[in-house]
Amino acid sequence: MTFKNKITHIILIALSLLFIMPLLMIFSGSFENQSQLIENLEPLFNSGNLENKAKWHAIPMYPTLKSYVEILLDSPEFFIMFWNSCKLVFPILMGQLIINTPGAWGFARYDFKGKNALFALYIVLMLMPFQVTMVSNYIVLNYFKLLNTRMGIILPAIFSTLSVFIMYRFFKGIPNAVIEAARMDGANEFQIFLRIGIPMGAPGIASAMVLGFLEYWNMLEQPLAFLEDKALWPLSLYMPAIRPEVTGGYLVSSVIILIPPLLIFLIGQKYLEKGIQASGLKE
Amino acid sequence: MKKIKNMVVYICIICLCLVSLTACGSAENNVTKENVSQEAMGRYVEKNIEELSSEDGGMLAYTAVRKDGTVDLYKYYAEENLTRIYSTADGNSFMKKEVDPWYTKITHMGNYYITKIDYDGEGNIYVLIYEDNADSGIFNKIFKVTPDNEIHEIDMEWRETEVEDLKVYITDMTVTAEGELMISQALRGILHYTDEGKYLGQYGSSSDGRFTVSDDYIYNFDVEQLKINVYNTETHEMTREISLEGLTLSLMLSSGKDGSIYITDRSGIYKIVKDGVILEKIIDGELTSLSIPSLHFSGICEGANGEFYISYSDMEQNTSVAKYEFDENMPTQPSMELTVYTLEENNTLRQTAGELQNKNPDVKVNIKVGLDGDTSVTKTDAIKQLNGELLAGKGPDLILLDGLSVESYIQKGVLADLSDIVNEYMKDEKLLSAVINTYANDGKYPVISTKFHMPIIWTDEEYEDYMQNLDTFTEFAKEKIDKPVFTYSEPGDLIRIFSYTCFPEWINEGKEINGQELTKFLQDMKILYDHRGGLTGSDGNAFAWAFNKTYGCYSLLKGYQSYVIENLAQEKRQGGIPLFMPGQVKNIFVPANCIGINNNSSNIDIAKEFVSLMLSDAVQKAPINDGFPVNLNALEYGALGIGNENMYYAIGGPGEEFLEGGLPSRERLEVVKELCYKVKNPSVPDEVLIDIIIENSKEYFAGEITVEDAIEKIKEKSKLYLSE
Amino acid sequence: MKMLLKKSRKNQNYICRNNKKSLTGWLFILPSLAGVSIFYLIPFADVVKRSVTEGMGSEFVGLRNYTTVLENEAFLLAAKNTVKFMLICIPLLLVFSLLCGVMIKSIRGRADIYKTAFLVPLAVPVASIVLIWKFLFHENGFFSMLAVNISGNSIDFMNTDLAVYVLIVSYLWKNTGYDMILWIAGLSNIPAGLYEAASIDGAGRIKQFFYITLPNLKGMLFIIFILSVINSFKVFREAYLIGGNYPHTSMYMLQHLFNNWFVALDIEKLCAGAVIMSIVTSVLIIFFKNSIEGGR
Repeated sequence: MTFKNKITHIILIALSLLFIMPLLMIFSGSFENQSQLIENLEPLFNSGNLENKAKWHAIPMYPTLKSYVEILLDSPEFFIMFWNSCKLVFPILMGQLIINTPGAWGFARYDFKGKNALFALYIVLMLMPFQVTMVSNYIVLNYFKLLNTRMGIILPAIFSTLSVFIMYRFFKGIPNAVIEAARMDGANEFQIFLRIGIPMGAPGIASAMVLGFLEYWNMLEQPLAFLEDKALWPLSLYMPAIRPEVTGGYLVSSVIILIPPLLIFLIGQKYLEKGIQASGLKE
Repeated sequence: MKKIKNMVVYICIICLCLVSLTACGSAENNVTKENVSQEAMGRYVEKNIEELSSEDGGMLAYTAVRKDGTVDLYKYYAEENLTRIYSTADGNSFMKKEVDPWYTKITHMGNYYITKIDYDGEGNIYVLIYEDNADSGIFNKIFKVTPDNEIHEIDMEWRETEVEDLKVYITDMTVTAEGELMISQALRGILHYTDEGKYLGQYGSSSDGRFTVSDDYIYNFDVEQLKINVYNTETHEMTREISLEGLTLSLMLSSGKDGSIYITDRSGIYKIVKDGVILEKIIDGELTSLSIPSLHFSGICEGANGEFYISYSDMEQNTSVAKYEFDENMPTQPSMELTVYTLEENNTLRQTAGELQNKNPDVKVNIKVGLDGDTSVTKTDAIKQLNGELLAGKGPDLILLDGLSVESYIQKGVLADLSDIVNEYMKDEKLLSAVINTYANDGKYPVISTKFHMPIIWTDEEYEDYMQNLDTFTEFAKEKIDKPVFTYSEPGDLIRIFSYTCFPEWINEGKEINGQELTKFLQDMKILYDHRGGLTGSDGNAFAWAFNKTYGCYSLLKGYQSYVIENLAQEKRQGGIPLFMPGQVKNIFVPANCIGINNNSSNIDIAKEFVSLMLSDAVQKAPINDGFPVNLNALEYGALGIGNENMYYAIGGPGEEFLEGGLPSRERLEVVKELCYKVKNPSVPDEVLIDIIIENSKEYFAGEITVEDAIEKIKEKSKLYLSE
Repeated sequence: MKMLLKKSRKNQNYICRNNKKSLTGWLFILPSLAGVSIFYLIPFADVVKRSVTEGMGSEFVGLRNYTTVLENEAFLLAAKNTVKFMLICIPLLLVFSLLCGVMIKSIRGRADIYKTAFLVPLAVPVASIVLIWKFLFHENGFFSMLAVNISGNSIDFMNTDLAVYVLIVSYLWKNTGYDMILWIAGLSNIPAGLYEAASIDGAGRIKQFFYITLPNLKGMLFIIFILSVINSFKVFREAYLIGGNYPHTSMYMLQHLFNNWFVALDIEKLCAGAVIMSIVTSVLIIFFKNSIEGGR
């Protein structure tokens, strides 16, 4: 047992390192001196087979905080965009919690006419890439006078059928016996939803929230298309086009942008664990 | 009962949350709505003062403001060699009078030029004069004139700089009510003197001489850090700073009442109250002549009743003065808004906007630039944004199609027909038909090209025959192996340069690549590339020709004043003429400033007026070097070179060389003008295809594959693009 | 007597409850349905409408746009590439993430660290990772350097048929964590009791895996499959940032085409293409769903 355990651990460690490596590269690069970066990465910006290949130092040759200073202290727009991201993502998640959770519950536990057709419709709607629906979305938002406002991004995102989809599965997995027992005890539907559904489906809800956070934190197309006012732009739109001279700022902003999602993982994981444990205990 | 109650509770909670969410959003909406629906009233209206324009031959020379608010504007009449003063106490009536005797006396005392006139609180007049005194290095004198017209020269305790030729050079002078002099001295800063010339102190040491005095403070512009340093006049100590982020470097400072100051730049006039740091925009530059690129503004002052005066001058030394008076009955924002979209910043649009707004004060022109700075917006993203709006039925009223794929917009019927505008002008044959008809289709004009560029090669007259087409040019390059024909180093450069004159041959009607023509082209390019000589682009195109390192030089001409260096090169060589760049097609021009009107616009009439203005004499004559005018009057006018005599250039090149001289003479301008009349064939090379060609022919130029292979690769790669 | 009465009342209640349950079901989904209709259904309907009109929506032309699109070379190439891409990556991803999930579930000790590690790629914004991919896969990048040291020739991923592998790597890297989390949650829902019972019956680990684990994950499989399909569309942003509007032909996907059609204002072709795409994907999904549930 232990041997197998050890092997599994080793494999996992190797894979994990592989997966984290780009992050470590970004992290180390953000501390690198800008001119060193230019020198290292210049071959990437010229086409043709060059003698001189690009380099990336695991530990910076000339560690410096200069790029950080430039971004954190000299760029006020960075912070504005940071808060814009927050102001978009948190209302979206709240809204999803309130609206999509009952929605998923309804699809999962109740049978009514047309349910399957509707759910299938939900799936089809999920598949449309943004390019296609952009113009149509534009018209709808225009009609409701939501263009160039935060709500114009928040509202469509709240109703995203993706989170319904994820939570559906988890609600469906709750054993019928438990529900029936509750019904016999006289609980009404709403209480069942609140007292049983939500706790037991917690892993699903948590997953949907975490994944939702990631999606909307890095959301690019919608703000670009529907937010004209640069003062409303979220952080994901901050990064300028890749040019050798700005790689320092680029890397730093990358590091900063990915800190909140990382935190969410760490926090969310604990909750995920708790939820899974809770449903395990019930058994 | 309980179940229902719980249900109700649940629904209430949902509604509450929804409401709070929407309240968040609509609160923001409400704010903006309020601004619009309440119809905020009152704004400064610009009015040109007739008497003060230079149409009567008098150029505005000085503006002097007395401490009681009276404004004196001095106009100099060159023909009569006279100066007259227009004086106003209230901004409505201007009294014309002759200059006072002291003025005549001072100007006749020596070779003196008056730089500045100012007053103190007791009616004494201070005159700063400039004297060309290169040997002593002290260029200025200050005179004080008492109310009884006694003139004394103030014996100034000059603080000399260490530079021999520039010991004392004063750029500006302001006099306080108490009679203290604040002067800005080049290479020194702002100095403080009594009215008897005694030196009292210095305020900081800024390299920029722009400053103003208001109450007990001096405000000096720090151009390097884009801020204002505020000094106490008594102690000479800096008390605080005011940040000027967001303003341009061409701003000016002036003083206001109660210790406030005004900052003027192209975006408008801002007020900062005494002890304040916030800039309050009181006049929106976009609604005034401040935003017109061809006008240079100066001499801002506030009159007795809170009105403002700004003097404007243009390239031809015409001057005018506009008065800005607050009108409570005008809505703060004009009722009609016209949106113009352009991918990149364009000064002709701004010029036209200014003209249109002048004629129609109830219209505001909003110029929307798609690519403004280096954010993560790529060209594709910008175009998608524009298209999204258009497809949704919204979108700008006018579109400047430079950089966009014009054919798509025409094909999809997005653009309105402008033939009535064109016909109006063509009735009297006022436009260059070859250029105007670029996008004409069946008598309809969805897009009008309002300017054009010409690809030109400059070379000696004797080689004219070699410049007929690509074949003869290649022959020339093969024969003359001692020097390259012009400077180029990469095949990519060559291809781009010749793309203008060859591109139309490469694409068939059926949207396919014409292999034959393209093959010939690439083969010729290879010959040219092999004969490129040792020069690189950094050796400077025109410079290389000027100093006889090449047989000629290439430029894409964008107007009569866009080829300064080439002209200087001509001077140096004492010869050389411009000719159409040789290629596979002759007499090529590149259409520019192509404007179209959105079919869905609700302001088509005003939009049409905008387009008409773009073709008008006024806008086409304006010295904005983004293309040759299509308006024939402007084309003729530009060739006269008015105002060219005053310009002198000394331009350094690679190494120790430099070229100096003036702008082209009338004869030279005529030659270019003749070429303009000869243009016939439009050429708009497709960027994507050019990139594909350059990318896939690299190996051919390096000698690694044959030309047939290269053509195959190009066809392969471009098939995708062309088949979409 | 009393018992009989109770029974019948129970039946009555049962019938009432069914209808009530139906109604409750509707109530639960109502808010979601309302929003979805406005923000998703209506735009979709608009897309369909545009796919059968021309001239900026003014003329009705029936299926003409569809035929144009289906005959268009660029569309066929893009479709082929997209399908190829999905056929390679999705199974790869499903299997790989499942294995990782199983491994993590099986170890004793803190699994959190590994989970976080696998999830890290999700946090990295697309624009940042593009730089890293460029560094690794460019002609003058890391792998090319290795290749030069080994074989003397450089590898240019971006301009050859290898380009699609860059996207596959990017897709796998980014989405393994995503799917793995869901697999783990699904694995957690399998009652431990089943495994205990199976061990008692003498089934080995591998048998347990195939007879207990996999069948119970069928539901999860469906979700993860759909999510993976959706995420495979999202790989466009990376492809675009690395390769531009017209990358190497092996990397040219449907979304590139849609993007370029949009820039050229060819909205009718865009919508027709999109409808075709969603029909095909829907058919695929229904097929998949039935094959999973059929096996049940």
